[in-house]
Amino acid sequence: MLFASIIVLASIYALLGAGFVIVYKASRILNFAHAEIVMLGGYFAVTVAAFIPGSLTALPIVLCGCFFLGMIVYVLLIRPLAGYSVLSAIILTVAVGVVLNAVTVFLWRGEMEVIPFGWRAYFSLPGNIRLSSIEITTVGIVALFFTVIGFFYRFSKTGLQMRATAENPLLAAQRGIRIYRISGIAWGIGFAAAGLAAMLLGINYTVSLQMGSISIAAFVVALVGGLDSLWGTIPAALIIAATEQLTITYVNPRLAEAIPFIILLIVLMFKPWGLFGTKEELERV
Amino acid sequence: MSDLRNGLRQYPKSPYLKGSYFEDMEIQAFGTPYRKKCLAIALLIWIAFPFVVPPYLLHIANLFAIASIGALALNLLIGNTGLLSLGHAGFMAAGAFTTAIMSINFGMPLWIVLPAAGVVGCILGLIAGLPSFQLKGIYLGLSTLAIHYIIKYGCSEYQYFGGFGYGIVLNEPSIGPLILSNKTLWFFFLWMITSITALFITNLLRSKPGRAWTAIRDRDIAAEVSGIPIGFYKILAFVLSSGLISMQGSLYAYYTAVISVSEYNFSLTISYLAMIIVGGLGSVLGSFLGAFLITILPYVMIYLAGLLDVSFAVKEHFSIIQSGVFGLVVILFLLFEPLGLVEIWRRIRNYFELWPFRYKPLTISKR
Repeated sequence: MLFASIIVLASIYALLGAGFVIVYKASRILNFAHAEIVMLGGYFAVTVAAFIPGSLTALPIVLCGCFFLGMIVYVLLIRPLAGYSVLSAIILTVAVGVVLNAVTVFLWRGEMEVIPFGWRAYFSLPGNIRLSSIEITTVGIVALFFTVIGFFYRFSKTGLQMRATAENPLLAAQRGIRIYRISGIAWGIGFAAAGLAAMLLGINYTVSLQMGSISIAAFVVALVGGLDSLWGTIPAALIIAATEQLTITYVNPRLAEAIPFIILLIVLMFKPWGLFGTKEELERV
Repeated sequence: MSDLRNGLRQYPKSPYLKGSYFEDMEIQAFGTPYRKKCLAIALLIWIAFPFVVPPYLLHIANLFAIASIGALALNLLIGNTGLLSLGHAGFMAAGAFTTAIMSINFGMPLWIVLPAAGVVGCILGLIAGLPSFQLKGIYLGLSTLAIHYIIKYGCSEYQYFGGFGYGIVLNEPSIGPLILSNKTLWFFFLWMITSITALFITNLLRSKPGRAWTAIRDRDIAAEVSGIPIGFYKILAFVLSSGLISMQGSLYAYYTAVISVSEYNFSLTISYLAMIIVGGLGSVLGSFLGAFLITILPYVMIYLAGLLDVSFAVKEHFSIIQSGVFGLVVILFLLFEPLGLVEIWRRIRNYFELWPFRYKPLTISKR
């Protein structure tokens, strides 16, 4: 039971952390609107799933919707702010989050919803571990996501351009890469990852106004793994999810909210750029 | 020679001109005739205000005063020193819960609690500032966010084990024989503290630490090369700012008389960050303008809704529309006036100063 919940939580954390990392790699902006996008994606998925039989068929529509939302946010809001300070960009994403939150509550009234998931079965593993079909699907989808993103970064032309832009935007631009378009796509992918995470959250738990708060811990995952390291999010997510769940079970549920941040402080003290991140020269605020 | 000197004596000395270092080191507040006139008018308004306006507006003015202290302190850290802090709500919570512990468990009066809250804030600021030796920018911001959550955890433990349920109720504080029971007394008290804070920060920014902070903000490596101990001054900025924010939290707790840990969440930090962004980074006037705008925004919307006699559908979603408008205001400011309200004020002032002409003065515009 505990093992299963750790695995599920870790996979969702990894997905959310990956969303942060993809956006950060492209534009060096930490997207504080992630929580609200998760919420919006969740409610959007509920609505789509009500019209289409089978929740997994709703997945492509939700992903496309989130992708275009990401592109729109980048083109309309983030790109005009290029060259301003980090603080302005952070506050901008926070404000975008506030507006998206208002839109979500206005459209969906903030009731608790569940995304229906048809297939329900239980599997017993050796070592007295029981996994439900939902949990296996969740872990499977996250694994698939990381595989696809990994192949995309490694082999596709756009992925190569994205890596180049992340490494050195100026040089990439001089080699003819359209860095604004690449960043826009990266924002789209980051938002799509949030939408995917929202669907998985909706299947595993519920869709509600509080579901976005889980992505606060996902910040920590992204940072502990290294803000520019996609693969670092997986071990980081495992660490955070395991400590959090163990704290809830054995110590104190109120401490569980603070535990990720205690880990974050320790990591920032000793390895400021995360476990797998590369050291970077930071802009001042 | 002496004739010339006597001849010069006839003219009044320019208030902007400093004859010696000692003169420059004096506390500077209302040195120029224009500022003296402003001070006189402001004092008149200050004394008359509570007796003229309805208590509802007085309440908003009090909230504005509390918000101004927070915005001033946060602007000192972010706007003047260039250190990102996302822990504002945490430091406020620290101040508020220090107030709760000291006034409920030990029965201390306000004049002991308020400085004590400041000291607690300073200590926490020292701890929060330690990562700034290594970290910059977003990483520092996230470490302060971590401090926020850890403080919040401690506060929620106190609230839970103290058996306070949803909130801790405070008694009305008193200063000596004077009990701060009505809004008018609070108005005088809060605005006095706010003006002292503003005066303190304005003069601090002119002094050695202020110049060091500006140097650190503009280029920390160059500042270090110039012989400024940047670690010390970064920590100093954190300590001062957190102490002030903690005192603000204590005042806020006393004023609202209810403390609940759920109030001090990240959205509170966001509204304070919005204040200094909307007002103008690194400017004392900007802190006031931003605090003013963000504080009155919800009340203006309630007023407008009452005036326009809006439909039921709008009323039902009113709090959500309020937060949406708040977000939109911040976005619009960032996109169209990134230097904030204070820049608008500067433009208007320049227009009138130069009035028949339209040339900009030959000065580099201040950040």
